[in-house]
Amino acid sequence: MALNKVDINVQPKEEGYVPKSKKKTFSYIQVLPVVSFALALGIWWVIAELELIRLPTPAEVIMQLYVMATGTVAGQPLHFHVYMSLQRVLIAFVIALAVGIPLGTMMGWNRRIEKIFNPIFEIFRPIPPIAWVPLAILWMGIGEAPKIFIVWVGCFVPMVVNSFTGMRYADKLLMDASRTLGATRSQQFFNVALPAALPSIFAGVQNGLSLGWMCVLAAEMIAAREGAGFLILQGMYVRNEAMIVSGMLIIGLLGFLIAIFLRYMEKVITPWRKEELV
Amino acid sequence: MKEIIKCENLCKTFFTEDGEEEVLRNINLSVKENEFLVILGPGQCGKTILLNIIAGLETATSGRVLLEGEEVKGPSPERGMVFQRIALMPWKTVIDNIELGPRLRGVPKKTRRKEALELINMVGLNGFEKAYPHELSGGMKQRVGIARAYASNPKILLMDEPFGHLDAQTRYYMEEEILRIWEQDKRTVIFVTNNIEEAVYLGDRVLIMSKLPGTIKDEHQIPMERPRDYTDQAFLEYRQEISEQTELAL
Repeated sequence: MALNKVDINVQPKEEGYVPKSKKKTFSYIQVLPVVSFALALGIWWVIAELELIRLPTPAEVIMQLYVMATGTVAGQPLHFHVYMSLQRVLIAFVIALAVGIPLGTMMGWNRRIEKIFNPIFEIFRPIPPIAWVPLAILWMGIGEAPKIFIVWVGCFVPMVVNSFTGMRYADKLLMDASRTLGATRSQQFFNVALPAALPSIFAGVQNGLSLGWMCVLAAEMIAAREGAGFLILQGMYVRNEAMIVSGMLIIGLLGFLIAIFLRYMEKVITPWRKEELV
Repeated sequence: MKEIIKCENLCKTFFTEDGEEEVLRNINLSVKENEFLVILGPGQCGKTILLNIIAGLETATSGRVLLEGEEVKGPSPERGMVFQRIALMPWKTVIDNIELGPRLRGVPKKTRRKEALELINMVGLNGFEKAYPHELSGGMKQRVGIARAYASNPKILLMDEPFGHLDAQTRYYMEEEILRIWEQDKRTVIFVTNNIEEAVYLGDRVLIMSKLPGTIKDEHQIPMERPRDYTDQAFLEYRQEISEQTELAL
């Protein structure tokens, strides 16, 4: 009586559902970003042309970028400066991954570890990365180490916070389910809590990398001779506003690209995430 | 027939900052091998807590649970659980969810895959092996939940309002399906519900629980043949009788 009706449970998607790729509506919503972008550019241009403040025009910035790309700043071409900044952030990011995620997950998993580390971390957490600059110089001099350290501070904090909350608030029901299946405590950690926390941990990784990238200027305030942040400072010393804005744009643009890359990675690493956060 | 599970004088009281809350009072019950026992009670009557205690997920304040004469100390795969909120691992596909229990217990990959495929066939999910839970409807998810519980080859299946979140039509259908599955591979079942018709449709025996603190108020044998018909005269009589007692129990 039942066997011939198996399909009844394959419920259709809710009414009015149209797969996104097939949607063919065009509305003014889609041109809004273009309009706002053009408007911002226009206002920038007007302010620069009227010389209300010391601000280069967009054309001057593009010229500056072209000059730096074909020539050199402080003896190095533009791509080298960008590369150096990326390298610093990447090294700091990897160290932060290796330290922050184990610390955060263990704090979320084990009350004792939480009680030991969390009070220290709660005080460490609100200290802005830039506040570490003087100590970093005193401890590590003016080489690469203090710069990587400053970026590391920026990366580290959100990774710990998100790993911690992800583990702590992992659905207890899933833990119960695994216990009725015979999971040991360590199996619960690796097979349930960790994957359940993965979306949150990954959000921490995203925030960490973005924040680390934002700290690159602070890091390169430490006697750097190269880097995107250095371009901004160098622009200030030689009173070249176009160079300052170029450096800012490079940081903004690369940060934007990093965010896009991470959003893509999120879909690869946590493919189940789509609707399932109930 | 052999007695599989027995609860002796189970009591549960929660101690909170606002005081004590007595949830279960002197629960005594026993379930025979391959019996389909339904525990019927209103919302918030402690029936989920009772099931969790039998599963070993919670401890009783006093009293004990015996599985084939041995006292239950904690959760174990021999007491399989089907949850109201289903509790599938959202990062695992259907087949990986079903295989989870055997994998945790170290069953070799080939064996557990073969068994999982058989279970998928049994619960009627052929073709959905590689789907993620969020791609399934509520009824299909609970099929996975049932298959997962079966995968540990349990002595008893504990079902906590497994169809509580489903729409009415799917619910009727799943009630037919759970009986079809159960008759194909019989187990001892304790099925918790707040729905009188569901209780009469499914159970060999129905226990009626009162509101808090939960006690067992009454017991009903339902010796009707299966499949049962909702409009059958005998069905309606049982329904009427139990519904009157349920009102008294409130």
